[in-house]
Amino acid sequence: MFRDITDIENEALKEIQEAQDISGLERIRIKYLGRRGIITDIMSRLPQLAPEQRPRVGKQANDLKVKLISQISERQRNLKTQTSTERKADLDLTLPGIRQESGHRHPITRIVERICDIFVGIGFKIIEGPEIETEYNNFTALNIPIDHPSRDMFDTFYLETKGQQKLLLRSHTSPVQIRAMKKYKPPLAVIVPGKVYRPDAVDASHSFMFHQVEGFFVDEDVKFSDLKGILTHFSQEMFGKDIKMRFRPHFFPFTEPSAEIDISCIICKGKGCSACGKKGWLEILGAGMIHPNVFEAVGYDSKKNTGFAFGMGVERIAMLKYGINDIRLFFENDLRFLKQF
Amino acid sequence: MKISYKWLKDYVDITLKPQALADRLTMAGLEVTSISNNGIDTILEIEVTSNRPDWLSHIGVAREIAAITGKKLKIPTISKPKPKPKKGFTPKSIQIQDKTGCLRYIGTLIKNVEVKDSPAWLKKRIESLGLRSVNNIVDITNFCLLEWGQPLHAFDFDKLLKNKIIVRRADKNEKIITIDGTVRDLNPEILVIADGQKPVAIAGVMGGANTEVTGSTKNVLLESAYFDPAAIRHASRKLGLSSESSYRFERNVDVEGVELASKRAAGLICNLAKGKFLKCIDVKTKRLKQPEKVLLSIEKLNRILGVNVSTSQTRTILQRLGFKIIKAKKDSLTVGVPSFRQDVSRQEDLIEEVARIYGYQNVPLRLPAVRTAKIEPQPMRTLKEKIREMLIAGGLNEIISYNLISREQLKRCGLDSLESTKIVNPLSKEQEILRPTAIAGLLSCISNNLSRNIEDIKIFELGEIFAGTREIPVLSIAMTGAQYNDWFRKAKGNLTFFDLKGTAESLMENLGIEDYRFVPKSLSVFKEGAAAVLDIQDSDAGFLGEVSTQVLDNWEIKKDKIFIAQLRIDKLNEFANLERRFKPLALHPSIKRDISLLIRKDTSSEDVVQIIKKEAGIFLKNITLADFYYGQQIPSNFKSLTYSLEYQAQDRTLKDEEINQIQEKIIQALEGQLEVKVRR
Repeated sequence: MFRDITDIENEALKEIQEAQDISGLERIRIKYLGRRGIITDIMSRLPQLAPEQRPRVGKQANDLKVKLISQISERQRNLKTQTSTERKADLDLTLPGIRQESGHRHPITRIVERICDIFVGIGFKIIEGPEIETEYNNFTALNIPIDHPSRDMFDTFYLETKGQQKLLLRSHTSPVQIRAMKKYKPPLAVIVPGKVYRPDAVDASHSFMFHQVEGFFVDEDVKFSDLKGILTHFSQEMFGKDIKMRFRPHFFPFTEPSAEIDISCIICKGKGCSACGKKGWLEILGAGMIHPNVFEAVGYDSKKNTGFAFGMGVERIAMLKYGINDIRLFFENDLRFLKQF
Repeated sequence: MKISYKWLKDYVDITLKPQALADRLTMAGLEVTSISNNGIDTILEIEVTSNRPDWLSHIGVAREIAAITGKKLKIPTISKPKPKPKKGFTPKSIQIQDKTGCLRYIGTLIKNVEVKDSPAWLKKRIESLGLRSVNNIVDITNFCLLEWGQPLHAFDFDKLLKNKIIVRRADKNEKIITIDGTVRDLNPEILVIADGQKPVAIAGVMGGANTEVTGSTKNVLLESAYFDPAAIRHASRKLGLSSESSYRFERNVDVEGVELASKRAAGLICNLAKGKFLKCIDVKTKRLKQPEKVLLSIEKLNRILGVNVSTSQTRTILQRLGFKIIKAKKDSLTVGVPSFRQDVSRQEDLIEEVARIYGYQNVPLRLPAVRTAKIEPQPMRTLKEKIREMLIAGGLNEIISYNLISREQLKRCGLDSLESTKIVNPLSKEQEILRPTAIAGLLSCISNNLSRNIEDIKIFELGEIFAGTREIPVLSIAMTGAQYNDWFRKAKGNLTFFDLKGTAESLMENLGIEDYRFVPKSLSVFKEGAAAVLDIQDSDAGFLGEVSTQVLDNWEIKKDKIFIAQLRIDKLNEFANLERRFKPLALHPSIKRDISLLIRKDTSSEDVVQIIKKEAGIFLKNITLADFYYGQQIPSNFKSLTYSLEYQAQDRTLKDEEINQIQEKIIQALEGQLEVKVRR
């Protein structure tokens, strides 16, 4: 008449554990605890039992009922978690993410910004100037006489203008030195980035239009040792603390003493290779103490002020830093090139 | 210039091996660019800066080595031969008519020379340095050129008419056949050496063919002179002719060296060509500069360099370099400048001399306190940086294109009517004009990339264009290709005009520019009905559009749907407002309503928006286009627009009735002013 409650318990628990989904669980609940469920049935037939058996069986049945409710509830929770996991496994998470494609800064912009950052970091201010210049600003004021071999270093493009004065495309950013010194009184620490032009046949290392960064610092007691210190700082920031440097005497009409600054070749580390023309050194900067004639041209008193000036070719620095082997790449703007930076 | 290591040893003791010597010279400012060993001798290739013509000779380089190493300089002994009388060759035989063009002329007459092959040692010396051996006379002149840096020229004396030498400017119609066989036209700006009748040499540049020393020459007139650098430079440029001689004259030869080299050469000619020295006539003009004296303050030297050099150290260095110490005080030196150092005229020049021999590497490093005057802010720069940031974040790539273009490129853009400034001296067609537009740069870049199968292009440039001689900063943008390239969104299709316009609008918003419009306009370069001008508060700030098929054809661009823009950065700067000011957040909720309408295809949606804004008044917080449709299901001449309006009041929640009233007002206005059908 009454199946053993322990048997029922074992069977029910087994079924609950093996339930595969919520609806299956519901069927089990109904089977045991529903209106016509097994436990419900037992409870309803208790009166058929002998009076001394009723309390015992009734308690057993009730305990089992409570236990089953709890087990079903827990199993329900488990199934819910399991299902969501199974759902996620349908997505292939190794598919590529959907990117917001970022554009790229031109490598020349990157290098100009880096150079300017270094100098602004030690107190220089950025000034820009016009690309179309007068012969005076580009040559005369910089102590480069018009009819002189030193002019050959700076061949220029001249513009066809109606009468007026001779205008040209600046062959270096140095004219902005003149403009700045005419506008402001010392002390003055300025950095000038910009485009320059030279009538050069275009090849892998020459372009008729390129970029320079010029800089200068004028104060009451600026020394050659300051020039060395600041340019060493710049070179280390740009190329790493381990590079070696060389200050080599040279000649520029607008500085005296003048120097060219080399760094140890970053490719062969000074042993000599094709990149450095077997010298082991790469020239990166020209510099010197500003010539008194330049001070005179801008109205500075060379007895009260001294200063140094320096200049560098941006394309050259970029080619060294990034390992680019052809200057024309900067102006062809092939996206495969631009997207590398 | 090539220098022989062995030859140098004639003038100074060298214990350093060639490579070590090269390094020392380079670090003193005389750059040795290469060293080559031919088994017998080592040849150094040196690069001489234009201020040191005294290095253009073996003695000059030897002097430098002596200064660096402290060894003694050994100048070859020059014998003073006894002059013998010669009729017809007197001081009057040499005339300097152009006293600015020539400051000193020494003519030496040597008779009965035997012109033949040079001895082997002389040939070797000349040839190892890249010069051709001609005959003993010419080779001797070249030898002295390489030894002293003084150009010499030998004339066949008997071919000089009236046995005269006249240094003058050429006459208008004079010509000369130079030793290379070329006929050259002369003009009054060119300095020549003439005999009694005609030019026999282009002074300082090249000799004439008919007075050349040949195998039949018996008597030689040896020229050694100082010519004005500017005059020689001019002649050289004008005739397109340069030589080892002109190179040195242009840079200043040594007035004293004129005499030394002359005597040296005369001695060698007598020795090697069995010539008999007759006479030497030396004409000097009054314009010869007096030797320079410079006062050098040791305190200033140390202050400028940042070193601690003593007066005696300074003295030693300068003396080794050939300077004379005229007066020596405890703290200053009065220095006499030798004739071969025309580049030295002031203290700073001497300071450089001391510094480079002392060694730049011995100057310590110092990081000074950098001070600077207050500089005017550079708003254009800040603006460009902001624009760059924005566009890069938007996926565009920065390009840099040439500011010089060819007229042909301008024509390809259909813009050859634009005025442009020409370059006087371009090296090629590519450098003909200053670009009056940035469009050529964009199309050139697009063309390059398409030809490399790169189809999706989004680029921009922050550059300049030129109107006359005015520089105008412009932002140029171009885009073409797929909107998206990823697996998820690829199907969305290609970029359209509105993508470019959207980029421009985002830019305006970012820069705080209000009150701008894109006004459709017919512009060359663009397809009809596919271009607009950017108008900011009635100011023309640029344009954008879809490039016309004709222009694309001109550039051989096979693709279609290419969109470009050119905006004036100066205008953007004028109207930009980068300041931000907080507006309190609304406390009351906003209410959204739609207005859906059909308008004629040729009515501009902008007109609709303007009317809505006007009628809605201050409660209209925002209006966006929610939907746009044309095609089936609506009349063929119409398009359907749905605008989403957001209403809000600052002080209360607007009531439905209020909004309904406004909506009704809007609809009335729309239906009254335009041919529209509002869907109620």
